[in-house]
Amino acid sequence: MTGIDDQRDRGTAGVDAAIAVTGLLMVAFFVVGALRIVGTGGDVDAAARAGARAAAAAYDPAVAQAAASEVVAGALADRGVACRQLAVSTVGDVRPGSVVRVDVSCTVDLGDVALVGFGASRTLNGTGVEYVDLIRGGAP
Amino acid sequence: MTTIPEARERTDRDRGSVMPMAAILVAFLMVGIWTLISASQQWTARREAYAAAAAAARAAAQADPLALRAGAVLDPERAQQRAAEVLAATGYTGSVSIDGVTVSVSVAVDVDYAFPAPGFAGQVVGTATAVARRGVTGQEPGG
Repeated sequence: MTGIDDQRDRGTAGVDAAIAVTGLLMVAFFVVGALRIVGTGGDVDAAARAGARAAAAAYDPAVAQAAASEVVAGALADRGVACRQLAVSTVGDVRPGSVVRVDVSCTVDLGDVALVGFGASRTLNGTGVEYVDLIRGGAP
Repeated sequence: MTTIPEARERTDRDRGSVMPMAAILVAFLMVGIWTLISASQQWTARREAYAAAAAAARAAAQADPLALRAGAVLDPERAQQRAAEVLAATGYTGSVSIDGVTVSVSVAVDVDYAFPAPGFAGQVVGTATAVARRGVTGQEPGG
């Protein structure tokens, strides 16, 4: 009977909408979280490469480490990446013809998308490698 | 004017169509998300490959400035060695070709997809070229 059918269906649209909106919000959180991880990973890689170039221009290992740290922090800040913990390490020599490697580790906060299983934070790593020029300008 | 049998028929015809539609929409949405994430990861790997190739090419194109002034070209063996040192530090593999003062390096990087990605390339290649020049602009005074 039509009257009974109408009564049986009454109220389901609201429930459907609630389920659909919840599902869509979860999907949106997931997309935001996943893209943030992928995007930030690329930013950390780019910062590590910039840090490696800065380190390769230095004449002293301590100066190279300081330059790499400064450039990496600046590059991440420019890209809007807020690291809860940031570690920059320089490996290698800065003599002409050497290879310098800069490893960057950045822990980003994902608390706002933790709902979909990303965890409260994630550590992203990046590496940059640069060859120390054989001929360099400036004063050692 | 709609009669009761017509109304009932319409109700019967519509019954159950929302759930399949929602399922199809969600399936399309998931495919879209999967594509977006996989493409982003592939793009990241491609940038990594280009960066490693560029660093290796810059290293390989380092030449003795005195020899360059005399019109010499790059020593292929030493250029290969310098590129190999950089590639070893990055952990990637690549190929180096040298033509006079021009070095081209191609680096292959395996893409680490978060989800199975059939249809997406498992490996991407980045190629970069560097040229050894006299002076910064290649117009060194007195050269």
